[in-house]
Amino acid sequence: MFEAIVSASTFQDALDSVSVLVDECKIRLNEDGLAIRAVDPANVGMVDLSLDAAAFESYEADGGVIGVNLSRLEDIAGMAGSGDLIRLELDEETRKLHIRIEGLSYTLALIDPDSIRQEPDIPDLDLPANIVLEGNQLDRGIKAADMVSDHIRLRVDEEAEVFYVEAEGDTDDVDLEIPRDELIDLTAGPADSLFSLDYLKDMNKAIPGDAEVEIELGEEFPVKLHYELAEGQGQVTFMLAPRIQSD
Amino acid sequence: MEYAALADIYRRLEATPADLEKTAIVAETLAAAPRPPEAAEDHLPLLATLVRGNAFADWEGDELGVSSSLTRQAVVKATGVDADELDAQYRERGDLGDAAAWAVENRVQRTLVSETLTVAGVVETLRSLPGFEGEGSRDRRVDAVADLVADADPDEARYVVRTVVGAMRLGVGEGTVRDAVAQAFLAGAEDADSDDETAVAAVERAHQVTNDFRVVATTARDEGLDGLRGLDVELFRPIKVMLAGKAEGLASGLVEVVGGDDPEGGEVDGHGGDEGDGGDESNGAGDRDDVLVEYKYDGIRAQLHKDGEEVRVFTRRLDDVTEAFPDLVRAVREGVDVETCILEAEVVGYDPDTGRSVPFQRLSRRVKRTEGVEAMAEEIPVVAYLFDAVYVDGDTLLDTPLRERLDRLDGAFEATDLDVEAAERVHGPSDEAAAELYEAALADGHEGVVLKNLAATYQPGSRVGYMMKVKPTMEPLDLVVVGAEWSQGRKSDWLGRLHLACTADSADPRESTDSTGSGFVKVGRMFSGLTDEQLVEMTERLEPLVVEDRGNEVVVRPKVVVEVEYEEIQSSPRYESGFALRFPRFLGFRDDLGPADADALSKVEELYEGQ
Repeated sequence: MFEAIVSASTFQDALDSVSVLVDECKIRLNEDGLAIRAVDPANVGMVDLSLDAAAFESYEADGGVIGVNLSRLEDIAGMAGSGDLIRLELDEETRKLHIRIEGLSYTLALIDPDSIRQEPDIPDLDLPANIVLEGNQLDRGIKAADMVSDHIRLRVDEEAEVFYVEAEGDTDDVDLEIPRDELIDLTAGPADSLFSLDYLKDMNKAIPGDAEVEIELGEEFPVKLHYELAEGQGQVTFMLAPRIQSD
Repeated sequence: MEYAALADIYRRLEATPADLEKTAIVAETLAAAPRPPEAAEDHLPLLATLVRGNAFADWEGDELGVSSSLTRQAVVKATGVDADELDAQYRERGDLGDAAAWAVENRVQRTLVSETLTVAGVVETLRSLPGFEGEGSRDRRVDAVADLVADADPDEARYVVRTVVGAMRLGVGEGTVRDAVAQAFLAGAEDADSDDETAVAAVERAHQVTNDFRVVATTARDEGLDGLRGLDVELFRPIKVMLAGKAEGLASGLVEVVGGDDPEGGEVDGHGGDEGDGGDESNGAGDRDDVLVEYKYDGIRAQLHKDGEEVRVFTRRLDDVTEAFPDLVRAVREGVDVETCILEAEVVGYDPDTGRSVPFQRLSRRVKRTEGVEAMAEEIPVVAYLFDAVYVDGDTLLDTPLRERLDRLDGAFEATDLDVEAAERVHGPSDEAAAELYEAALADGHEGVVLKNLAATYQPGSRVGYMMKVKPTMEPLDLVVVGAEWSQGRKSDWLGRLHLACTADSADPRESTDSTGSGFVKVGRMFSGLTDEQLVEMTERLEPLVVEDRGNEVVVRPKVVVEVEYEEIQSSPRYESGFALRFPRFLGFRDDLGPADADALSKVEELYEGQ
């Protein structure tokens, strides 16, 4: 069984973080909250989302798994104003999800979870550098980089304790320098990796501007981005594989 | 079974030019196909189609629906290589699979996780592709292919991509698989009178009736020769249709179709001639009593399967189009009174007000229709002209002469007014009677006539000499080459796929012959008719004219004029002219003509109206 009431903005933010990578996903309806883990078709980007029961106005579930078409679900959730509540109820018999928003009711056909790509194992990584900043700061770097290139370099200068966001285009370069005192926190370590902007841009879209983002970074290693939803009652981790640095 | 092992087999098949060796490799592959308990599932049905690069059996008629451009997107997505660089590699290598192998070798994007590709997993993904429909389905296909390429090593990527785009280039044909099945499972069978030839013949026959090498291979393995001989045509599993050759003209065709020597040397395309023996005696003139002349309708060739109330309609390419023709289904239910049958018909659309038939291109709008089907059925109703029976009430008629098949056909249905009718035909006609029917067919707006040998059996999938079409060819057009694509495979150094245009009537093309195509409108792309020498010459002429290079495709200054023949002019939204040539073929360069002298859109329009 599954029955829950959640604020529209929390639900929308949660769905956004997954839909930037995949079109369909499995949602685990655990007793203590809802969880989604998915990897994009090219195995380059991954998302791990959990939304604790406390993030909901009310939440009851007993551990089932459903498969959903995310763009459908997002469209429906998009019908709600930010202050609205969304009521979700699973009909076990018809395998449909009933969604009610302010008098509007919608029945969403579910997808057989077995037909959806298996959830990935999260690679176990110990990354040496840890940067904590505001979503807005990261957003600024990514936007600037996007003007000149299709990839972006994230690195830490250990001695100077500076976090760099850099992009090299065919003709123009972009360089954003954020010293330690402008960051929320920094654990300096050897870190220098190149990433596809296509992916990072999409992930960035899902990160609220005022969120505190924790970046874990290494040398030619995947990057991890953590942030919280619903006042700490939801957690999102993105992981993105690096591009190969040719020179 | 890991996909890498299959990639290895593909590589070996590609490496040897010798047919016998290819057969041996396929035989070995099929014989060694893993099955329970060693593997979770029996791999023989998978490998039996994969050795030719198919994820489906022939009769399933499904297409993966992934174009080479979607496949390129998938490769870029999976490897992170630059799209232009991939295109350059594609052009240089002439094969998208090879380009994909290069992309994986030179991937710039790492992955987070990687799974081992398995044969069963790849097949499952490929088989899911046609099922993606509607909004976002293109993206989902790209994602599914990217998913495979992301997990592939260079060799695996090469063959996965070739499978996706349907160009394996292994030189493994149906005959190879047929011989390989015989070699793998029937060699030295306990059956004393079995030799290689009987085994091959049995496999061939089994494939003709099932159109499914999965069934044929597993039956050969599990039940041997007897099992194969027990296989038969099944309802709702369409067989390949017998194909018609092309007669030079009516007079020569009438002689040639019954095995007479054609005084004018008529042409039969494909292999053919008397292969399979139509049962006639070649006596120089052939036996006119064995000649059938029949209308060649301008419609859709359909295979109608009926089992009681259930009726399904398949095209000659074996696509199931039942949903698009509810009216035809009703007509067959009503008009065909045998319990079970497989009949062949030409389905022709007609104008409900005048009762006159409409051209194929109008009818073709009904084929892929999924919405508003009944409304379309009212707008363009159809009549099925039945012309052959391959299965009636439990009897498979493939080995039955046409004369008797027609008797069974005539006994199988009641002609209903404008729904189900017998094809217009005449048996053993005089030259005059044949010519009359031919003229009547043309006057009724149909393509011409088909000549058939009444003593001949039904040869599924073969283009045989005892079924020949006679139709007038259209007046050739002089057209300007405005663009071209690099050819595929062996000919990849040459610009062979030509974009053809006529002059637009609105602008004066004389003003703009030096510009890039204004004053010209495209009417089609031509893939065939050029010899190697002509390809080289065409490339040499076009290369200096290139004004824009789009990777696989170039835009050229309109200068080269060519003479082109074609089967028909269709109305088409694809080109700005509103028309498209069906099967254009190169006839020659028209060096005597400047681009402004090429045929005008008004001429194309006129020919379209008159056909």
